[in-house]
Amino acid sequence: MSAKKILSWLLVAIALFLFFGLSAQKAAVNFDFTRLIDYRVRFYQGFIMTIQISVFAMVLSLLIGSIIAIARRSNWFFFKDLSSAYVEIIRGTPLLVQIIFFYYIIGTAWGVSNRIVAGVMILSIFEAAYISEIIRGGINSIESKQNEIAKAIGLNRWQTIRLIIIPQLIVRIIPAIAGQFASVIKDSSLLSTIAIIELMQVTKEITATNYATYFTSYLVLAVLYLMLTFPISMLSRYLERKNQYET
Amino acid sequence: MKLEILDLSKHFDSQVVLENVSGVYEFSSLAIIGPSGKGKSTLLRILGGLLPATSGSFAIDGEWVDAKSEKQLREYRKKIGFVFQSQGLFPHLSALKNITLPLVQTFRMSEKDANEKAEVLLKRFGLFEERHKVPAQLSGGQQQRIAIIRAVAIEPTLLLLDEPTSALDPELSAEVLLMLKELIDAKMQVIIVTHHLPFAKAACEHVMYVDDQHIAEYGITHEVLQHPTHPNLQRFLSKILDI
Repeated sequence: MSAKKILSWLLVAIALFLFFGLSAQKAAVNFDFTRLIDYRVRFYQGFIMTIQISVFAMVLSLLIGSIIAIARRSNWFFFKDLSSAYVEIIRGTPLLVQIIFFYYIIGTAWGVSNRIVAGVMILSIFEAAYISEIIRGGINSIESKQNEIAKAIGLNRWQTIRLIIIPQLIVRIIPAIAGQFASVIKDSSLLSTIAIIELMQVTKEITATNYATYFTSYLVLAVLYLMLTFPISMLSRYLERKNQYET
Repeated sequence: MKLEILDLSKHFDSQVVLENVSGVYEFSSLAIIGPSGKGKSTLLRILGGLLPATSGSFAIDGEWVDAKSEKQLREYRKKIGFVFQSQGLFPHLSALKNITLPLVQTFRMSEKDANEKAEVLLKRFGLFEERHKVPAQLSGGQQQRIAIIRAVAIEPTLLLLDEPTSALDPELSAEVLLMLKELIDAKMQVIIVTHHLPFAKAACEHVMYVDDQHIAEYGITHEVLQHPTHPNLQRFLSKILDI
C-alpha cells in the first residue's frame, strides 16, 4: 500500500472517529468499557455461538442453494416452478417473518424443538435463495459456446460439467458468495428472536439487566460483527480483483 | 479424400438453410466460400458432427454417418479436428492444458505423453514459450494457432475450420494462414470456410461455392475462380474483386 493511500485511510479513520465521538458527546453518551468486564465470558460465548451458527449455515446454504440452482434449470416443470416459487417467496419476505413462521408453525408441526438446529436451518433456507441466484447467474455467464467446444473435442456431458463448467463457475461466483457469507453472519443476529444465545441475544440480555451498559454493549457488538465480516469482505474484494486479472 | 453427401437438409424451425444437398467430392484441401448466412458454416458444422442435420447422411472415405444420429456423431467427432471462428479455447486453462485436454480425456492418453505431444507441436509452430499462458494473455492470432494445434494434436482424419481469421486483423490473420498452409503442405486434409480468397487460391486445391441452400459450384480452385459458371458466383466474385 502506498504512503498516500495509508494517509487517506488515516484521515477517514480520524473523520469517522471525530464525527461519532462528537455525536456521542452531544447526546451525552458515555462509553465506559470497564462496566463490561464482568460480562466478558458471556460475550465470548455469544461470539462463539454466532460463529458456529454462521459456519453451519454457510455450508448448508451453499448446499441448498446449489440444489435450487440446478432445479431451476431442470427440464421438469414441477422442480423448476417449485424452486422459482421458493426463491421469490424467500427473497420477497423479511427474514424475521420467516423465522417466526418456520420456527413456531413448521418447526412445531414437524417436531424440530432444538432452537439451534432450527435456527441454522431457517438461516440456511433464507440465504440459499440468494446463493442459488448467484450460482444461476454464474452458470448463465459461462458462454454457451463452451459447450459446443467441449462437444467438438469429444467431452461427454459429465466431463464438460466437471472440467469446464465447475472450475470457471467457482472462480466467477466466489466473490459474490463471500459477500453473501458476510450477510449470513449479520443475519444470524435475527435468530435472537427465537432466543438462541448468540451475540445479539447476549447483548439484549446484558443491556436488559444493566441499562448503563446499553450503548457500550452495542458498540462492542458492532465491533465483534465487523471483526467477522471485514476479513470476508476483504477476501471477496481480493478474489474479485484476482479474477478480473485472469479473464 | 472422398466426401460423399446424400440428401442432406437442415432446417432451423421454418428456415431452410440446406435443402437436399447431394454429391461426391474428392480433394485434399477444400475452401468453402459464399455469401454470409447462406449455409456455409451450417454445412461445415454438420460435416464436423457438431450439428445434427434434419435429414440425410454423408461419408468420409466411404464411412457413412447418419447425420441425424447424435450417437453416431459422437463417435465420428473423435476423428475430426474443429477450429472455431474465435474464442475457441477454454479461458480457465493454459495453452498447454487446452491442447492436452482432449488427448487425456477423450483419447485416454497419459498426462506425460499428452504433454510431450503438445510440446512438440508448440515448438514446431513457435508457441512453446506461450505454453503456460491462459487465453486472455495471448493475442488473437496466438489463440487461433493454439486452437489449431489442439485440433491437429488428436491426429484427425480431417481438419475443419470455420472462418478462423475473420476476427483477426490482417497481420495476425497472416500468421494463422501461414500455419494452415504449412499443415496443408504437410498433407493434412482440410476443409476451411473462409472469406479470404487469396488464401483459398494459394493453399486450397479445391473450392466449393455454397449459396441458396445448395452447393452451387465445385471444382479446382484456380479454374473455378477464373471461370465461374454459376451466375451468383460470378456476381459474388466480381463484388469481392471490385473492392
